[in-house]
Formats: sequence, C-alpha cells, structure tokens
Amino acid sequence: MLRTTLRTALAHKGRLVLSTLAVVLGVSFVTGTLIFTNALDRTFVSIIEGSAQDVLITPKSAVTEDFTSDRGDSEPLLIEDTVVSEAAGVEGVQAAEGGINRNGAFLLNKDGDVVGAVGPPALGVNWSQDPVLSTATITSGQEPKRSGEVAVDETTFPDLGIELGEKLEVITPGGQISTTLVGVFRFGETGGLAGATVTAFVPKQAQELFAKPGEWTQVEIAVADGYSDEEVAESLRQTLAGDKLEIKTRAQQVEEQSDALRQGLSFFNYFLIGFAAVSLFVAAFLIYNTFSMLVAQRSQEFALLRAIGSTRRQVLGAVLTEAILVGLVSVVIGIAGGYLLALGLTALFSTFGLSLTAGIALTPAAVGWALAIGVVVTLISALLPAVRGSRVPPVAALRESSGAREGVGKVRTAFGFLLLLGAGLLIWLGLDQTETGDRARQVGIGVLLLLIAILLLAPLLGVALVRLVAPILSLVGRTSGKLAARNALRAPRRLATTASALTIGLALVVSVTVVTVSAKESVNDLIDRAFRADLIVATETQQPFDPQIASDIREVTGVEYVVSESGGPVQIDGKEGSVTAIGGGPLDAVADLTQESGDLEKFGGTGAVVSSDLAGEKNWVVGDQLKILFASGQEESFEIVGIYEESSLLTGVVIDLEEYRAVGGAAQDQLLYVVTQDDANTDQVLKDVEKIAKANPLLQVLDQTQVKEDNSAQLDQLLFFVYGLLGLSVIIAALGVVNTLSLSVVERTRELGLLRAVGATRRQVRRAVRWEAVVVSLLGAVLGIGAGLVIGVGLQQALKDAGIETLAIPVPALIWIVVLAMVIGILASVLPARRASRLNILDAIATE
Amino acid sequence: MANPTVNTEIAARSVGLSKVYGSGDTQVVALDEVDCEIPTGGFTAVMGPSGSGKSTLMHCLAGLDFISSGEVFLGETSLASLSDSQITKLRREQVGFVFQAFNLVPTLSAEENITLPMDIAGRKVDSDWFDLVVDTLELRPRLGHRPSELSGGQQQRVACARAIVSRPTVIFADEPTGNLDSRAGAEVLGFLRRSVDEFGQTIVMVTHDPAAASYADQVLFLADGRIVDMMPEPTADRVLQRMIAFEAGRTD
Repeated sequence: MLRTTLRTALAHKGRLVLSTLAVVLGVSFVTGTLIFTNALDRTFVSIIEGSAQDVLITPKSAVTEDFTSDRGDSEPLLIEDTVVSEAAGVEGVQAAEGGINRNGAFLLNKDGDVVGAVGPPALGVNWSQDPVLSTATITSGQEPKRSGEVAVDETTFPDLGIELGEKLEVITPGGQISTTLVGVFRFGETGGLAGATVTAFVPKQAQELFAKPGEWTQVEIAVADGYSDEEVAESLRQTLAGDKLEIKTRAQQVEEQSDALRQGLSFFNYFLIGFAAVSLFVAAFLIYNTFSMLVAQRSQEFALLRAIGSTRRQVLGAVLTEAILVGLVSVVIGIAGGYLLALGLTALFSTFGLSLTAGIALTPAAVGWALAIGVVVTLISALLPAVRGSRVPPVAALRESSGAREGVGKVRTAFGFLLLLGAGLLIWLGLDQTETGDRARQVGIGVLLLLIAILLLAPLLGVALVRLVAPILSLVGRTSGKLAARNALRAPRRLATTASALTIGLALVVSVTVVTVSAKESVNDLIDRAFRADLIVATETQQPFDPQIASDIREVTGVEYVVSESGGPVQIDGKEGSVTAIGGGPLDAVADLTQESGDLEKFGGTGAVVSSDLAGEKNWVVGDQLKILFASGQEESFEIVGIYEESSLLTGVVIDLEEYRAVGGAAQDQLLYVVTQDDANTDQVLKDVEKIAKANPLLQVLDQTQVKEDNSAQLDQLLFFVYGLLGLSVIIAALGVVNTLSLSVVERTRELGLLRAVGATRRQVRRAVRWEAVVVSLLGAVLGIGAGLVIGVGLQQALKDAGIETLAIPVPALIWIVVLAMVIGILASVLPARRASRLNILDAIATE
Repeated sequence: MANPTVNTEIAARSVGLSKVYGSGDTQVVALDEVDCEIPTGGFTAVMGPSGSGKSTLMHCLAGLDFISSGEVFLGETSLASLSDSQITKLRREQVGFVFQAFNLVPTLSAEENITLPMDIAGRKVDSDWFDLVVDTLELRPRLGHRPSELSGGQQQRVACARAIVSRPTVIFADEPTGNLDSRAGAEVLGFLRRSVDEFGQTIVMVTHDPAAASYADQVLFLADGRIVDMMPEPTADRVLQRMIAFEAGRTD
C-alpha cells in the first residue's frame, strides 16, 4: 500500500506543489522567526555577559527598581568616590574602580548627522584604568589619555566617516562638545553592542559630562581568586552600609538583564509567530481544498482499491501518508527557507544599525517546531478529505463519475447562523461595558466568533454573491463570464474555502487599517481641538536637552511663552508612579484642558493637578495631599488643586517644573511647547526657533501640521509593517486560488475540450477561467472587507476611551483592496487559464 | 490553394490526406493518402475496424486535429494553412459535433447548451429555427433542465440540437449511439436522417454499428488508414456482410 501511495503522490506531484509551497511559506516564517530571535537573544546575552562585572555596585533608586529605563531623563543617581576605596578594602576584592555608564553620548558623523538608530542607547563610559576590570580592548589607535580624547566601539567607528586623530562632535547631556577621536575598541568578546554606540572618555571627563566630579554611576569589582562572587558581594553588603546601594554578582547581573531583554524579545517573537499562525491557518485551507479535490478526482481509484479488497483504513492511510509526505517535504524546504529568511532579517537589521554578532544558527527548537507545525498542519487539513476518500463505496468504481453538484452544507450554515447570532449578541453587550478592558475583551471575542461565523457562512454568501454578479458577468464577460459564474456555483463549498483563505488575510488588513486610520484621525482631531502650542521642540529619542534652548526661544520676537515639560518616575504615597513637570508658562499652553473639579488656575508651587481617570482610580479629590518621593530620595507634599478631564495630551499627576527641579528632578527639558503671539509672523518665528534648536542636532521643531504628519507617519510605518506580514497570508491565499483553479481545470478537461470543439477560442477559454478567478477573489474581498469592517469598527468602539474616539472608514483603501484582490485573482488565473486554453481537444473529448 | 475549382456539391473533402503519429521506429500512419468527398446534403457513415483511422479522418475533416500532409477542405476553405484561432472560428461557423459521451456542459441548462456555439460566436439565435429544431427533437419540456436531470437519450438529443441549431456546413457525429440503448439510439439516428431529408443538413457519422450505418446515404469503409470501399444506399445486412468480408480478408 505504501508503494501505491508513493506512486500516486509522485504522479500527482504537480498538483501537490502548491500545497507544499503554502506549508513551506508558513514553516519558513515560523523557523525564520525562531532562528532570528534566537540569534538576537544570544547576541544580547553575550553582550550582557561580556560587559558584566564580577560584582557591580549601583545606586539604588529610591522609587523604582527598573534600571533599564535610563534614558537620561532624570538626574543620575551617583556613588561617592569614597565608596570605591571602601570597597577596595573588603576581603576578596581584587580590584575596585568607579565607573561611568550612561545613555546620552550622541556622536555626529562627518556630515553632522547623529550616528545610530532611534532606539539603541548611545552610551558614554569612562575608559577603565584597571586591566583586570576592563571589558574593552583597543583594536586600533590608542586609549583616551586626557580630557577631550575619546575612543569609540568598532561597530560604530565605520559609520562615523571620521579617521583617527580627527575631530569628533559629541552631544552630551550638557551640550555639544568637540573631541578628538584617538582610538577604536572592541567591547567584550563579540565586538559590538547590537546597535548601541559606546564612547569612552578619560574618567575625569566622563564624570564631568555624565555625573559630577568625584562621583560615579557605578562601582566595578573584580573578585580575587579563591573567593566566590557571592561571598564577596555579601561582604560588600555588610561593609558598605546603607540602603542606597545595589550590589549584584555577575550571575545576578546577567540574569536580570537577560530577563528584561527576553521580555522585550518575546513580544517581538509572539508578534511574528502570530502572523506565521495566520499564514499557516490560511495554508490549512489550501491543503484542505487540494486534498478534497484530489480525493474527489480519485474516488474511482479509491473505489477500485476498495473493490479489490483494500480496507477503509488502508485508503485513509494512503491519503494521510500522502499528507505526511507533503508535510515532510515542506518542512525540509521550509527550514531552509526559514534559515534564509533569518539571514535576510539579520541583514535588514544591520542596515538599521543593529548587528547580530552572535550569528544565526539552526536551533533544535526551530527544527522541532518546523517539523511539528508542517506535519501536523498538513495532516489535520487532510484529515477530513481523507475520511471522505475512505468512505467511497466500492460500487462507485463501476459507476459513471457523477458531476453531482455540492450544496452549501445545511449543518454548516445552521451552525454559522447560530454563531453569528452569538457573536452579534456578545459585541452588542460588550459595547455596553463601561470598563475599557472588559469592553475590548468581550468585543474581541465577539469579532473572533464573527469571523468564524462568516467563514462558516461563506458558501451561502458565496452563492448569493455569485447570483448577484452573474448578470454583470454575463454582460461583461459574455459566454465566458456566464460559464465562470456557473462554474463558481457548481461547488459552493470549494468556492468558499478558496475565497476564505483570502478573506482571513484581507479581514485582518481591513480591521488593522480601520483601527489605525481611526487612531490617526482621533489624534488629528485632538490636535485641532485641544492643541494650543504653535510649535513643539523635542528630540526624536526623547533625549532631554539643555534648558538654555527654552530661554533662547523665549527671546524670539513673536513668541508669547515657552512651556517646558519634564518628569520621571516617582513614588506617590508609597506606590510607583510618575509625574509630569510643567513650567515656564501657563498649563493651558500644553493643552486645552477641561476642568472637572477644583481650579486648574491654582496650578503651581506645591499645587498639583491630576487627571480624572487617575483621580477616579485612586479616589483622590481636590484638597488631598500627595506625598511624592522623587528619584533623588527627597520627599515633598503636593496638594491636589484641580482635576482635569482625561486627555491624550496630558495624563496623570502634573506638578510645577520649578518645584520638580527643587527636589532633585532633572535640570533638563524633554519637550517645549512654543505659543506665539496672535500677530506674530509664524514663518519667521519658525525660522528663528529652528536656528536656536540647531545647537542640538537631536532636536526637531514641529508645527501642528508636522505633529500630525509625524503621528501619521509613525502609524503608517506600523501599518505597513503589519501589511508586510499579512502579505504572506495573502500570497498563500493567492496560491490557493491558483491551486483550486488548476485542479478545477483538470477536473473539467472534457468540458473545456468541448467548448473548444464547438468553437470557443483559446482566448475565450482563458477568459472563462480568469472570470472565475475574479469571482473567487471578489468573494474573498467582499467577505474580508465585511468582516474587517465589523472587526475594525468593533475594536474602535471598544477602544473609544483609550484614545480612538473618531471612527474613520478608509474608503479609498477599501477600494484599493477590492482592486488588489481582483488583480490577485487575475494573476492567480494566469497559469490555470493557460493550461485550460492549451488543452488538447482530442484528449478532452476522447471517450475514456 | 491547390485546387481552386469550386464544387458546390461537396461539403468537405480531403486530397492525399495523411496523418502520421510519432516518428522513426514508433511511427504510426493513421491515415495514408486518403482522398474522399462528403457530398452536400448527404448522410455519410464512416466505418471500419478499431484502429482503421475512422475517428482520425473525422477529426481531420472537422479541423480538430492537424494533418501531416495533403489537403482538407471544409466548404471552400483549405484548412492546412490556417492558424488555431482561424480553425476555431471556422469550426464555430461551419461544423457541428455530436459525441458518443454527449459532452454537454453540466452547469448549463439544456437550452443554454443548445445555444452555446451561437453564444460563443456571439451570434444571434434564429428563434424560428431554434423552435423548429427543439420541437422536432421533442425537447421543449426539457429546456430548463440541467444535463444531470436528463436521460441519456435526451442528452444526446440536446447534443444533436446544439449541432444543428447553428446551421453548420457539416455535422460530425462520433459514435452518437455508442452510449445509448437501442430505442434511444434509433430516435437519435432517426432525427439525424430527418435533418438530412427535411433540412438538407450534411452529416458525417463515424460508427461501428451496421444498423446505425444503414441510416446513411453512403458508407465509406476504412482499413489501415485507407478508404477501401464505398457503399451507396447501405442496408444493415449488406454493411455487416462487407465488414465480415473485411475481417476475413484481414485474417488471411
């Protein structure tokens, strides 16, 4: 029996190619993702290990343990020099050295542009004076020996376009400084920091730039032979009294940092795997269809096998074995494809400045998943057709193969309607929920059920749609169109399955588009409604900047006031939180806030305002005192003087900037709101402000239109990323259309031959197949858009309070999707149509 | 054109028609220099044992198959020099087909199947003629039915109607009664006969059934790719005798 199976599989290999391809794409995506994220993981872990110290002493933040959020947006917590000498005296310490390691050393290349991407940090460090503790080695040039000399890491160096000995401009938290590049070093063992730029100064200058003279951001400890890291860390804890220091062993440093990293990576991983799952789901439809059609075409063969004594189980086994073969072949090719995909992703990321130095490797996990997914998906998809094949009675061998038409499936339809009802009820009730989380959850489940309902009802809807467009088809496509419509109606379930594959991808595309465009519109509305500032000055990286900029802008003719924004993590009444600090001008220069209670005018000094949502959550009312513990360790009481209605422009606790700085908040600004006088020459103001902002190349000056555009551009980027990922499922769906059409052409050999015999030209035959493809893709598009709109609108309604107030239906995008679907259909029909038109008439009409 | 003389009495003819499949050792000569004439308004049966080339001859005359050498004329047009699409158009306008396996389009109703060649050609259906054909074939009550809802005899009558409704120069029928019981077969043959007598239709029918051949005006006998005999005014008995004589001759 196995031999028979192999023979038939080989004989049908042409028909199986597309199913294989579909699984290959899905498997490639999964393995590629796994291989890539593994490489990412190993790269980061090796960096973490390479830069870890035996024992590291860092200042303990008074308010939060999250040290990864160092964007330089709060005053650094520092360690006194005395701690270093104290630590050096502890038993088991071989060497102890104060170190500087802080984000905020942006390098300018020879064109004056900032090197590195938005995201990875730009670290300023001190060049370690102790070879035992140093994690870096000079690869060319020399180490920095005096103030004004710097060395950079070897992955950053080529991007500078600056040679050793030349001037290198560095933007530090204190402003731009001019240095001389004297050396290039390799960090740890792998060389780079995956996109982070690292600039090393002599300790004294590093302290001046990133800390304070005589103080450090960390103390690095090397443990002497014969002592364990844990022992020494414990002794240090006992010797260095106080709760202001965090003392961690190498193992703890690596574990903590890797955990934080993996959390970030796992999101990325799940995101990609999610799309891979969509693709595989779509691929399952294709496989199901292929096997259904193969089984139908071979029912005579199965009947014959049964007639000559094969058991039902043997027939079932034969089909499933074929499925396993398809799965295995796909897995092998898919793994290779995944490897290539990971290579491609690596190359792509390195162009973004993120170099994966660990290199990609095929992991057992990736192979295991590929194998499991490829084989299991194929097997499950082929199961139903296989069972159907095994049910072919032996007597069918003797019967003329019947061209019996298949129905829409009564049970399926009934179930679909039931589910539709349930989904509708769930969404309807869900939208009534007051809590955004509950609402989103309930509506989310509702739309998922709805999608399934639509897939179940697809044959019925398909028949309705084809009936609807049939007259148009007959009119436009004449006989070819009529034949195409009739043929689509011949097997509604097959039509539905083929279209459904397209529906899934398009529904996701449409819903994501609706939500994104709505979000875009909501923000634009908000800016129109509540945005008061004429200009915004900020850095793309959220990097804080010199308050001198604000002072300078205040001097520009036509500027009414400049409001500065800062802020950071704090503890409010003992719980972790954050504050926004506003100063330099009235609060309503930031946003047109609606007062809910109290008096927003009283803002200032120790009078704070809070948003209605937060106040509601914490049961705060006007007059309450908030005990706020700042990162500096200082505590201050603020009185709530006003509660404002929640707004996307301003949230949470807002305090006075001067007060914030008085208690140790960062002396720098994160954002400036510039309001011009009514009679100001706005163009001139913009030019003047831009001139001032040039002092810091990281700064951007945006007017309201640009803020909108900036926001749109960000959302568009996200949208295109999602489109790209969903593109895979659409491609697989297109393969499904190709496959179904090809098999249907084979099935209809006689019919097509007859058309040719009675005078249909090749072109007419081609057209008939093409029209059918258009019908299929149109159905896919209509269902996809319908489902996508319901999902998108449902989600928008559910997220109404979370910033997506305005519903926007992207009509042009929807039209494009229909056009795109038709084009996909037409492209998918090219090969099957050609095949149909090239049929040998004599073969076609010959009696078997 | 090799022969410009026009003979209005001839609906189709072949001159030195050869059809060779394969090449070298595996070469098979299906038709060997066949000259034949199909008279207009006549009912010609082509007979011969299996492998004699009778189906190939029909396919070549109908423009369904390309010829290896010689000439084929359909009406006044030589087929040898025509492209596939030209032949397709010619077939559409001048040829009707009836096949053994009926070959109706399952998704179309009987009526749609009948008018299919006209629809494909984008020609208007002559409704008087359509009514006459449909009534003659007693298909009126069945027009809205799909092929799967029709009996074999009814399906073949639909196929006959489809062949004749476009008033082709020639109808080629390939074993039209092969899949029918004798009563249904007789009905179909009776109709073919009537279409010749009453409508002046030209019909070429390939068959191996002497009884079917007896409906024809003349019978061409094929053996090993050549026309070996021609019998006018055939009867079933004489055709059978002739066939038996062939078999005897062949076994010698």
